[in-house]
Amino acid sequence: MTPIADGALAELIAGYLDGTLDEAGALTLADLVQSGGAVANRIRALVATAGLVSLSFDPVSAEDLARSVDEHITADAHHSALLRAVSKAIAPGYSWANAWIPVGALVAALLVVVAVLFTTTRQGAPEQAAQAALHQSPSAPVIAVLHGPHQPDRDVHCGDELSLPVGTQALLMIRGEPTTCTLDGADCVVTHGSPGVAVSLHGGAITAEVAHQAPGVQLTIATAQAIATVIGTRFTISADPSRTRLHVLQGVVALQDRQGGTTAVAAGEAVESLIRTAGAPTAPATVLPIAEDWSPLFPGGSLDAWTQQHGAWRSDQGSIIGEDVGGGPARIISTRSLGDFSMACRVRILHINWAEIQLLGYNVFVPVAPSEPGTWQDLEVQVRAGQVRATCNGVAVVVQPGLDLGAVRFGTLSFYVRPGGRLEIRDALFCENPARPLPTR
Amino acid sequence: MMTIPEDTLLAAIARSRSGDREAYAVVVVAFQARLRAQVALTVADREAILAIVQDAFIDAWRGLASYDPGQPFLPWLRAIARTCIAKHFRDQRAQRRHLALVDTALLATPAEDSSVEDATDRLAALRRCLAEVPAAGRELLSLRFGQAWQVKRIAEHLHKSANAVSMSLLRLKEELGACAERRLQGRRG
Repeated sequence: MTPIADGALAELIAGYLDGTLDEAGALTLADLVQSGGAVANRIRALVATAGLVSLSFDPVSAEDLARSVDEHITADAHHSALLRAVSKAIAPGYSWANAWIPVGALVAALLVVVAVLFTTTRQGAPEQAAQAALHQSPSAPVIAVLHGPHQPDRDVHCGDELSLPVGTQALLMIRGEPTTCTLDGADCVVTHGSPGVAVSLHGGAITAEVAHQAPGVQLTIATAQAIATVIGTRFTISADPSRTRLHVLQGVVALQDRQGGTTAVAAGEAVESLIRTAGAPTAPATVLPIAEDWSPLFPGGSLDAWTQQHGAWRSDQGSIIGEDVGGGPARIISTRSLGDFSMACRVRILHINWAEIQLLGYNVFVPVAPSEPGTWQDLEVQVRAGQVRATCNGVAVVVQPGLDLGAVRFGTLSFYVRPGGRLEIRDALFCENPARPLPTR
Repeated sequence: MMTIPEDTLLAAIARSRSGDREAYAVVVVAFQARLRAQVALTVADREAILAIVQDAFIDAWRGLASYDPGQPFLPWLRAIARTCIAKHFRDQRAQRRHLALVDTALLATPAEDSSVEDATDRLAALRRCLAEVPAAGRELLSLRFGQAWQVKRIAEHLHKSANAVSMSLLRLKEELGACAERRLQGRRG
């Protein structure tokens, strides 16, 4: 090996430590490291010094780290419970890779679940169910597992009566295939259909993407006014004592009123109807126009639809501001789960340069890391069937995956800023179930 | 460093093994500083250090059943952290491209396995040395390691060449390392 001048070696090492070393320099330095311990030891000492100096500027407290670890353990537990439920519900010998196994060989384990907003029926004020109730039939087979921000993981047995908080997610088993759905408040009874699964939905909403079923197999959701028959589609259905609303995003759902009239609701259509007042007959279903309406994400600066998990959040002169005066992280989470939506907002990060938009529960992350802290960034996020695209100032952002649950289609939306930072959000607009397809960039 | 009585810590470890997450938070708080310092000896980037330490605690939680309570906890935790460090370098290979050649060469050459006490003592010594660095040097270190700015950006900010900034940082690190070593030697002597 040709001797190298100390100045040249220093430049190579500095380039390596700063990440600016070119390929030729890297080859030279790698040779030097391999040929003698002195160079390797010098680099190691410098790396150690750099690492320890980094820690000297480290703003993350021990408690923040412990909280972060605990959050990951919580998410890990959800993931594990889901996998356990899947493995229990799938027939032995089923191959995930082979979707062509005859239908008869698969277990027609079917699904269910449901939801209810304890909200609108109670003096008109949204009121999130604080406690989840579950009346179980433990001898029945497990057909789903529930998880959510306000309750521990739970198995769901066929025959269970559910009363669940907003934002509960469920992994349902339909013909051995896991299906993720979201239960925004849940008040329902789950029973076997014939064949399939039947849900009596007394209130709240179910959003699900149901795989196409085998002939004769179906999911039925019965409300006070109608029965929706789902064979394979993506939809949201909500109910309260006076109203049923069905919005179909993909496929077709047959909605039958209690007097026998049937309406086929196609993709892109919504039906709201079947208003039944005391003594009056049920009105026929009415197809509603679907408009791509953008509305404020924080109407009038209200934080009612959000849970402040970390830090303090407030509305101030048109901005939503989150920070932890103690130097910790700040996170605000939507109380409701979302499926397909578009969102546009402006954000500004102060003191540090890292914030995130966290989507679909805690499963997809859109980093916001401006090169100049304190500057306003124009963000756009689009979620379609679990796929996320985002731009920052018109430039595509590399979206980071989370738990790799694979089939997550619905979940909460969060804004997060790292410890020591302050996040300001302005002009936040939101459009749920947009008609436009996801644009390609 | 957070001081937690030994018996409290042992009880927290025992409860953690039974699935008590609040107890595990106590364990994380108790050991995180030592683990951070240990990881910092081989990984320079602060975000990476934190990610590795976090992963180590998560992996440790998953593997608590395999921990022998008759043995000290910290060496078991350090072994997990070493695995996480190795995984970090593996994951970084594609991203670091040709820099990974040097990473690999460093990993292939023998290195002393510093003790946890060495790492925490060195960190304490380094902090004292940092206080002695002139203002201009402190600003440079703060931009590079506190704000995590890239050298090019620092150079633009300070109206200097990237090479000059890079070499200044190298000298500062070597001086800090030497200062910390002197302080450690003095204490040992």
